[in-house]
Amino acid sequence: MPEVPLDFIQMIVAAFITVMILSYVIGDNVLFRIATYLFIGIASGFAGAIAWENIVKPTLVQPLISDGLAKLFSPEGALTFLIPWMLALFMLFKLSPRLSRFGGFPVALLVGVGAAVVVGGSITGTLVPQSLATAGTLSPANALPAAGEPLSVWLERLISALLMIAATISVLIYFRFSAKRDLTGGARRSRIAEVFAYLGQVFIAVTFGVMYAGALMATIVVLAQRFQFLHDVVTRIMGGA
Amino acid sequence: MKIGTYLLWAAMAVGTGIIVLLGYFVQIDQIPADSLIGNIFELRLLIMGWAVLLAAVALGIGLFNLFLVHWMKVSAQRPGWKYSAVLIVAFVLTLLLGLIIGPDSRVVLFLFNSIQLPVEASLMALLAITLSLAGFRLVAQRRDLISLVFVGTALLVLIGSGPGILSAEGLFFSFFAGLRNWLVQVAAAGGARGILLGVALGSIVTGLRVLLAVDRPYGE
Amino acid sequence: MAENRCPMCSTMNQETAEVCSNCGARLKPLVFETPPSDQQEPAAEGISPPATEASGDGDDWLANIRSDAIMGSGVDDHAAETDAADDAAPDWLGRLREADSSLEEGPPSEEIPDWMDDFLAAGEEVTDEEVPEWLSRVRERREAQTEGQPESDEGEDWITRLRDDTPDERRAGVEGLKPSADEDESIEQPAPRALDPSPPPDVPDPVPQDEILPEEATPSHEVGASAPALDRLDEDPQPAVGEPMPPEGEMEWFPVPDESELLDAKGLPHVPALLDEETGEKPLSDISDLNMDSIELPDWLGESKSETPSVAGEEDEKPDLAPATLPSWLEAMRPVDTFRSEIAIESDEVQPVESAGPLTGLRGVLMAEPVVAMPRTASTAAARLEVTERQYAQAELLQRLVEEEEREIPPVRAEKRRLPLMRWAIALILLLAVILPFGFKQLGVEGYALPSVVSRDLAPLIDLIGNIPTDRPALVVFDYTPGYSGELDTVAGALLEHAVMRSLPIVTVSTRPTGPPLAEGLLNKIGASYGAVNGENYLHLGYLSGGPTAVQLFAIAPRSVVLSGYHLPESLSEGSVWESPLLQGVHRLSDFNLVIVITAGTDTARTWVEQTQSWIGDTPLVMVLSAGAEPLVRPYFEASEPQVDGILTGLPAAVSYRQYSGLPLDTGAQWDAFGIGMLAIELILIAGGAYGIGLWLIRLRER
Repeated sequence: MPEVPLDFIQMIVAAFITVMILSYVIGDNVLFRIATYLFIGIASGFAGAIAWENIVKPTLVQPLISDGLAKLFSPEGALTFLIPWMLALFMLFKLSPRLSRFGGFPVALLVGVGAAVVVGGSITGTLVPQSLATAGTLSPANALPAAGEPLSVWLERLISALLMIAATISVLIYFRFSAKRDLTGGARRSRIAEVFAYLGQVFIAVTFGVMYAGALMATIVVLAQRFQFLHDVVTRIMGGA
Repeated sequence: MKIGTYLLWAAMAVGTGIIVLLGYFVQIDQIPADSLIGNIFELRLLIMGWAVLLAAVALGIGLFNLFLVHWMKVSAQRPGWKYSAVLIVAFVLTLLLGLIIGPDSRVVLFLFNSIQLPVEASLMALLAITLSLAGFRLVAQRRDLISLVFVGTALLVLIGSGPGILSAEGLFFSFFAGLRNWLVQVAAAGGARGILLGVALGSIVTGLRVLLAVDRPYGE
Repeated sequence: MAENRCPMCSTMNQETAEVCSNCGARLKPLVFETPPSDQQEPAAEGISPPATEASGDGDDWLANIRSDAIMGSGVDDHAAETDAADDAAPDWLGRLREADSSLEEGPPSEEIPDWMDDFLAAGEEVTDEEVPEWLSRVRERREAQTEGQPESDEGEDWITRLRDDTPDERRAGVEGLKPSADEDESIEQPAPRALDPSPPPDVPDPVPQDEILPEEATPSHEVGASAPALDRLDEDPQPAVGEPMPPEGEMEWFPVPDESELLDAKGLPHVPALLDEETGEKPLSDISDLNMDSIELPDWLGESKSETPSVAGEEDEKPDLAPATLPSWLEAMRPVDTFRSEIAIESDEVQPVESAGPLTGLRGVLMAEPVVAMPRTASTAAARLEVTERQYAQAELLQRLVEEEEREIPPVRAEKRRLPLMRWAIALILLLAVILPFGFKQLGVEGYALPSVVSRDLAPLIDLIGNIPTDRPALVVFDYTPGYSGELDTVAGALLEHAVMRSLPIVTVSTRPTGPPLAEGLLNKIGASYGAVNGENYLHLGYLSGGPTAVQLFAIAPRSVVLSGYHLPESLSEGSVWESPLLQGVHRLSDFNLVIVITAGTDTARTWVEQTQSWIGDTPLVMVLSAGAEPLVRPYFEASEPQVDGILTGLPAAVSYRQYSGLPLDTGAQWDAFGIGMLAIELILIAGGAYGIGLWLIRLRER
């Protein structure tokens, strides 16, 4: 019996799974549900396996095997092995409702580090650079025409810069929801703020429209690729037959 | 929860957060390694390493909870328990294979390439139908300026991005391609910049609330 | 006037009362004075006292009385005897002391009752030797009576004479008394009993000879009151209360016999037999606690009683009798004074007569109706219920809740499943759009032309990849899900293929669990064309958990966060991945020649931009994005000091990249399918717009 290549079987199975998922076009059915539950199980198992292989095992198990207990009692070992073990064990207390509060220690560390990373990254990676970029839009290099530059090109660049600044500022004003309370008791922004906020809404709609078009294109490519795959499977089966 | 424990958790979060945050504003290259600040930076790396480990442990706890939920569903034979049984079998099989023979083995890669990848790709393919239907309904039912701008921009970008109504060549396509580029690179970019700044400001405020122990998501 | 308490019912009576006005009990005991021997009258003619064995001379009078009772009484007389009561003998009995000795011989000569005729007739047939002496005397008397009296008075007997002579209360239960002739029809005359004057041997003499029977029948007035009430129970459920008793002297049927007639042969008064000689039972008259109402009285007795006046406490008789000495057993029955209730009981005249229930006709009983039986009516004030508004609202709420509970919940109709026709139509259009290009070749249809317009961003990127040094590896981050592999494998494949084609070492890493296998699959596929081998041309660092924290740590110290790799070659399976020659000299992010981030999510792209900002140095950062993520990454690129040095977005850009980088173009079918799909979507959106405008115009016209 000729050995069936594993990739062929893999292809057949993938084709069946693809059809089972695409059957959702008709409506929810048993095949679709089986395929999705199968997917969740395999994805979860794979994630757990790779997390163990790449993170947990090299940190908590491998040092014990390679270096032995001697390293555990060294200062370096305490910081790199004992404390991580303790933190991991405390984290496991989160599984028990009674002992859950003891898992607050590692969670507090996780939350604190995560918050600091987000704050630091936002400040250094987005807030400052993007603010500088917005301010630099109308830099002399951009605002003034370059030597020998056609007027149309310069105007286009200038208008684009102004538009970008207007878009940035109007969107930021739109996100500012502070308002004064008027005589009737309702909250109302000033007229200038209302105008800029509406302009910001328009630019946000443009941005989301572009994102929507990109999503459509991406999904069409994926759809095409799926049928390309099915076509290849059928071709190979028919060619093999 | 006793007040003492609450303060301990808050101190842990604030302390570690401050240490990590300092690293964003100090050029580490200019600091001697054996100085106090240098040691603090070493501690910072250590703490971040612990956070990476704890993130992996948290992933494991989440997977265990997923298993437990479906196990209870199968035990109680609630509606849909058969699907949960399929999930449990697939989960246990993949996890055991991954733990024993490795996640990069042929068998595990077989399961990944034959089931997980096709399922996710097919689900993404179904999204094309859903997005198209959503766009049709939006433009058919809502006729306000924002909706028109949204759909109009999308249509222009689609037309100017590639083949479709127009071929990817010719004068018409060049016009729409240029229009598409302007929309994406100027109008959308400006709006996106404002969105990014707003998101950054919001993230900073949220993170500072945690670092100042105003918000305590780790428990009281 | 001092009051006298009744020993039986503790009713206060007058000092001179001899019997109790409530229960008829004798208040003053009878003292029977033995008359002298010369005053003892012989027994009534024809009647000889019954011989007693155990009695002495004093018992002869008792025997005589018994014989009279036997002869003249029947069943009804027993009832009459009960009315007589043991402690209230008729007045006539009190005059027994004064009776002639002729009484011992039987009834008065002029008053021989008619019922005696039968005896006399029967006796006439008897020889003189067989006829008792007393019977003969009776006959003689009768003969004398009939001679001296007219025919019209034939029916008048000695009882009638007694009635005429004696005024006071009449006792219905007097034995041996015949009712009036007028009432003979309603009277059942029992057969005369066998004369057995001797009392039963086991019954002691209830009353010594010196004792006199109670002279007055106590309950006569009571019976007189109750008997009419009993009669009227059938006629009128509410008998009159307090019906006056017939005055004394009107009980014609009950003549008081002369005392002389009632005295026995020895001059002793005749007393009713305490024990029935036949049955040996105590006469009902002896029973003190007898409920008179429970006894069914004869009609004549009831009528007689109605005529009998009720005399409560009325005492006309002068108490000329000495108090009787009660026998020991009778004395034992007497209620002890100490247990007597101190409650003052009203006289019988004051107390109302019970008109309903089983105690109808009696006095001195607890009235049921006013206390128990009569339903109470609520007062006007209690009937008016005051309800506050809050209570009313709460009551309404409660009623509403109850009604809701009672209301039948209609069965939930299964919603009619609407067919998703529009979804089916769009799905059919799109499926046809992507399937149709596969037949272009067979159909001979030319597909879409490759893009001629190149984005201004593409050329710098191509130059960047084309000019990057290959002495250090390029870091490629696979941070996308398998769902986007259909697009990003195509887009990133062009760039990676360019890099592989230039033999640029590639090191992959991912912050997603699915990144490493995707990286292996793509690079394996690309490397197969160019002979790139894992471990030599490319290496996988594996998975990093922790998101931004891992990126920051990797950017600072990748060796501290990556402890093992993924799908490592055998040469590196034993040791660390950092021992690979590809990673020599790599200690931080800036040590890489190029950083390529392949992602479909804007957050991941932003994370890599933010976290690597301070540690990337001069290393170019290139973003390979899905078409939908481009707008939010472009600001990082469109800056005076861009944080992103290159962007490659979407299939058209990838096709253009291949087209202008000299890479082989193997996207034919996919490009046509993409084009037809784009056409379908554009047409769908246009159709939707046209449909919306049409609806708007129609509604505008309708207005």
